[in-house]
Amino acid sequence: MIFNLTDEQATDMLLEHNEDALRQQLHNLPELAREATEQDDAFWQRQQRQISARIPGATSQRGRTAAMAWATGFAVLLLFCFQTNRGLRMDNGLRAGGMTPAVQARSQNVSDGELLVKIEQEIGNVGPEALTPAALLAQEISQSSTPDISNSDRTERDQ
Amino acid sequence: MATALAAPLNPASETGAAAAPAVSFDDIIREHQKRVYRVIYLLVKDADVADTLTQECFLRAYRGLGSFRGECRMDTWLLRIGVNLARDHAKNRRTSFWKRLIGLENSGEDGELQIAAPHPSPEQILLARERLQAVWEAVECLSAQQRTIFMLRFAEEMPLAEIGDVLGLKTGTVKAQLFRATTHVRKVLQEAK
Repeated sequence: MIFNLTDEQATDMLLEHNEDALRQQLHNLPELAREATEQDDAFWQRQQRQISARIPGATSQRGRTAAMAWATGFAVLLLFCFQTNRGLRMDNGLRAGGMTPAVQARSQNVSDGELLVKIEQEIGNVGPEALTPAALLAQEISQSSTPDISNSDRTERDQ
Repeated sequence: MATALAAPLNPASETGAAAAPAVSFDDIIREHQKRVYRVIYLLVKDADVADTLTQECFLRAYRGLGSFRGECRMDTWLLRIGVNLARDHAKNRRTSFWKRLIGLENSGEDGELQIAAPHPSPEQILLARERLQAVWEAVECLSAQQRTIFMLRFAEEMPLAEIGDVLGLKTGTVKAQLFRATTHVRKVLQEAK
């Protein structure tokens, strides 16, 4: 029967026979190979890192990413500084340089006059008796703040 | 890690499968590094050299990704690179010996790839390596190709066709070489009894 086999079939049979015989002796070879090359996770991670480090494209890509991060951070910092500076300038402007002394004095006069008028009105309308002297005082102040022609005429005549 | 390695690769170009999920080169390293390392170790019999050659293997794979057209599996392709590196390493060692002998090369390993720092191995790993040594001795007299075929077949349990893919040989050639290898090893083991 074996004489009817082709060379290839004969080789296959002999090879199979050899392999079966060897597998009985070397059945643990795959396991041995795995055990012999067993490494902890740190080894594989280090190996992976070293491969990555040796790939120029990956390095330049990392460099580009880092540069992009730095540029973004710098831009944010600049924007922050600009905004802060602008805010400070606006504050200072409002406090000192924003209004001229004339405007400041006028606004002061306006607010004083308005306040007196309001006090006068309030006291005049529903003011309690205890505040009558204050009402009189307010009336006096308001009269003195508005220049009266008749008053000045009277003064001139007295002299 | 947002690197070029982490960028997804074209799955169709890797596996030939249209619906395969996108994978990065980092994933490829993680998935195959143990097997590549193991096969190279079985061929070079040195853990540090195997580590270095494994790194070199993935480096070459990354550079050659453009030429990988998915005609074979990714692990087959990587093992082909790894086996070639192991073969070149053995050649370099032999030529290095003769060069040193006639004074063309320094006695140090300057021209060799950088060897990674040694790392401690547990007792079990040492025992396994000692047992592997007996197998290495049994295949010592084989040709480099027969030895590689033998290791891929018996240690990695690879199908004959895949061994042929890795080594760039026809399956018939692999069978013939394996038959010679197994016959020789059987004889050695019988003599050793």
